[in-house]
Amino acid sequence: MNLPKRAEILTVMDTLAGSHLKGKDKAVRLSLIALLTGGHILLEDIPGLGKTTLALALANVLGLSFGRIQCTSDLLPSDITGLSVFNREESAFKFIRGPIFNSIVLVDEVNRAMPKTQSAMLEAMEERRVTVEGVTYPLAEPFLVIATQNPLEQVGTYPLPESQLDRFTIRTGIGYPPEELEKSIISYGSIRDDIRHIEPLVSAGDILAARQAVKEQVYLSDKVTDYIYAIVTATRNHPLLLSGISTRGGINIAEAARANAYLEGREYVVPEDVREVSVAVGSHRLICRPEQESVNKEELLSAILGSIPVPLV
Amino acid sequence: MVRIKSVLDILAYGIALLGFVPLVAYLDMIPRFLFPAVLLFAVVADRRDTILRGHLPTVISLLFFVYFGIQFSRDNLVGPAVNLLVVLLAVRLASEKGSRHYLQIYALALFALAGSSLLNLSAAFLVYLLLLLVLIAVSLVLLTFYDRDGDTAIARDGMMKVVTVAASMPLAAMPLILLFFVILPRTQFPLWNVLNVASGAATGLSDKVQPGTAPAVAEVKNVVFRADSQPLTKNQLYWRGVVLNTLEGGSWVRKPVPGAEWSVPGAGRGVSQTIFPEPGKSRYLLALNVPRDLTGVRFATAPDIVHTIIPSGRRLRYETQSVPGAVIRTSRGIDRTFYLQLPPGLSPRLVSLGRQMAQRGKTDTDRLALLERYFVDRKLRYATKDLPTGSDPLAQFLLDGKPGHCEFFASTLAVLLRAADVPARLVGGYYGGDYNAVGGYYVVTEERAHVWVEAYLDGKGWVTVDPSAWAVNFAGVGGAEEQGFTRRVRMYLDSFSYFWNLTVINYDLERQISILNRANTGLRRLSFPSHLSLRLLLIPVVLLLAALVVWRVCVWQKVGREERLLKILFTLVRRRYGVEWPPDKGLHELARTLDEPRITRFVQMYGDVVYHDRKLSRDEYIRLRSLLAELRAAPH
Repeated sequence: MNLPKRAEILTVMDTLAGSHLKGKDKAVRLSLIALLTGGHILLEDIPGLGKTTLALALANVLGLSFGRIQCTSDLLPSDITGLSVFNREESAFKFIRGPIFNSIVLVDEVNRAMPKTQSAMLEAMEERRVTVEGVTYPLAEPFLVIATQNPLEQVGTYPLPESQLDRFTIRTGIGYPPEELEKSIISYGSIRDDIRHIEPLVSAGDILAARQAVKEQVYLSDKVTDYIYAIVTATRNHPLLLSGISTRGGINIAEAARANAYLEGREYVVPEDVREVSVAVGSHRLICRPEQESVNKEELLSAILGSIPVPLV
Repeated sequence: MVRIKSVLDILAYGIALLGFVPLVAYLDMIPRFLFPAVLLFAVVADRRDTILRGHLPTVISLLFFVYFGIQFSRDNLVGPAVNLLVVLLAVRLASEKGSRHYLQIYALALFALAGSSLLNLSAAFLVYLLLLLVLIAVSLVLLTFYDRDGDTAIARDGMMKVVTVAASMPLAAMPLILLFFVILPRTQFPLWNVLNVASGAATGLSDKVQPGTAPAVAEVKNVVFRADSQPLTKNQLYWRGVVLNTLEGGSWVRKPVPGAEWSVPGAGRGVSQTIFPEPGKSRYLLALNVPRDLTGVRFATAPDIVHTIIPSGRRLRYETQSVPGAVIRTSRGIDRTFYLQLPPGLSPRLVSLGRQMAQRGKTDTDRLALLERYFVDRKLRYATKDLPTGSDPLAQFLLDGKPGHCEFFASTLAVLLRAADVPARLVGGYYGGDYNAVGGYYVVTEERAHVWVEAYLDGKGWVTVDPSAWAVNFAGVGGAEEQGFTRRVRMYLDSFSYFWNLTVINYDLERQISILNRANTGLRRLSFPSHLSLRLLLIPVVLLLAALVVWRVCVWQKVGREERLLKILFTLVRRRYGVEWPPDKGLHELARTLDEPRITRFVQMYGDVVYHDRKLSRDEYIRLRSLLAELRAAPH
């Protein structure tokens, strides 16, 4: 099995999850999957669990440029995209690039921004280019947005509507680290300083090559496609759900499953890959019926997965 | 903690023993020593989990089946059967036990115990049976836990509670069993009918005939008796009950027969019937007129052929021989004055009509013929409603054109006969009956109660005369028959009730044994052509087995290689790890969970082919097969 650049990507994962971001294996893995599929990730958790640390560490270890946007209700679209400033010496307007032109962009507390700003950002995520004052600028490649939002605080926020949540390939929480680990983290203190000194392990070219490999060398069989389709249809026909996983959601599941197979070192997707990524990729796309708002979507999707037989033959 | 399985095993040993012990003395050497040995083996093996698995037990069972099957013959039915039962029981004990197999053990033990009752009739049987029932009841309750999850363990206290409750169920049910299966169906009366016997004026046989007391008669459809008989014509269906020989006031009653009168039915073709009366209060034994012979019960016979018993409330059955429509001969003559008595104050119009007939006819026969013509000419109507009542009902009926029922016809004729100097009496009984072709018997209901006349004709004897037959509408008497479907349904229901009475209510051991004997001799007499030995019967058995094997192989071949491999893999996983792999989880997860290098290798190779949308090649299939074989052979 010679999947290109897999060894490098695995080293990144081990370095991050093993030494710098202990106890965040799942989040690290999902972030890498998002990176490999060219998607974006939404971390949904309470503050102080290391969302920002994760984003910073990822940026440093990948050797990519990093930009951060702290969202507030008066954040304007131009604060993200950048704006033209008049250069008196050249007596011309010069475009100053905003933080979105970095490879890894951390959008903190995305639900605090106004809808106008949110949609500008989400559009940039999708289109991978920004048009300012009639000029279109392509964004960096690879481009990964790590957005965070706090699910508990609701005052003064503009929660992302489901249609916009659909733009994120993956939504996941981080969760508290295990007891022993948390104790050692508490005693050691913040690792922000250490992270600054992480040496980049891969280059942007490596990442692009890996992405290519995921796309072209991992085989998705008809059986597994059928399985994904079965999951998608099951969510659409579920009695508790108003609407299920979209076609884009299905595409994202397939891509994420490919990336997962790549990480596992397989050049074909097995149903387990689908099972592993489905909840993270699919659950935020489900829309419950109004009377079922309180249902936990991740558990619901897990239950749906449990009712669909895996293709074995 | 106590594992459900160990308790179930202990109970299964007990149950199997209860099937074996009553049979010990009757078994061949092999099963007699095999069973205890196997039981010991099972006790040890169940604890160490070295019980027999796979198809070996099935093969052993089959071999024994053939072995005892050869011994099986018409003279030796029970022996091989019980031996086989015990061997099968032993094999079941020694092989692995799923919930299905526990049930098989219970069934086999029950059969074995039932088999022992064919060999001896000891009261110990009841003890064994009760013990077996209690153990099986407890086991069944535990089996529901086991079926849910084979590894369930329950705390000692909880287990005690479960066992106590489970054991108390059959114990609590015991009185009810007694009530429902021993007492209730064997009671001679339907319980509810005894408690509220219907009262009021209704049709039926009574020993007093008094026409003109009620303007209408209710018709009751209760069954009086059933008579197992060949089908007869309608004019033969007179069921004789009682003879009323004296007119007192307005009513006919029965008085002791005077003088030396003795009656014998005349010659004729005999008809035999078996009569099953419904229990009631009547003391007259009914039989087809004229009964010649009656057997099966203790009874008293009066000189005018009236059979009586003391009603005991027991269900009866008796056989009768009758000569339908015969004349009753009296060898020693009759007391003419007794049968000519008419009470004073009887309707003068009727008496003078009788006297007229006496003058016009010279002989008894002539007078009867004259009266018949008179009745027919009057165009009398038969009815059970709108009846004449009052001071002189008989005259109103005959002379004033009022309708009447059989009592009117019979009383009037008898009075006229007596006035015309012909000895006459009334006979009460039933007329007609519904023939049940399903069961081959007549059902006679209360509303068929009937009264007719016997006239004594000099030189002949007592001749049966039914004046009701002279009514213009007599053909319709007896009520319109239900037609078609409802009648058939009613017939089937009645047959069921009849056979129930015959086999359950009137059950007696001797009769059952005689039936069994008859069946047995019948079986012995059954003969095959001599060159066809029972051993030859083995050929079809072998052919059948071969066909089964071929079919099995064909089915197996039809299934794809992938399915076959997976089936083997999952069976292996179930056996080795006790894991029933759910269908919503994949093979790679299985490999990860079990962490067994061979399974991991299998899954990798298999997945590489299948999830590349390829079919397994023959080579790959053989490699995977050998991997699985390696796994099976590997020590656990």
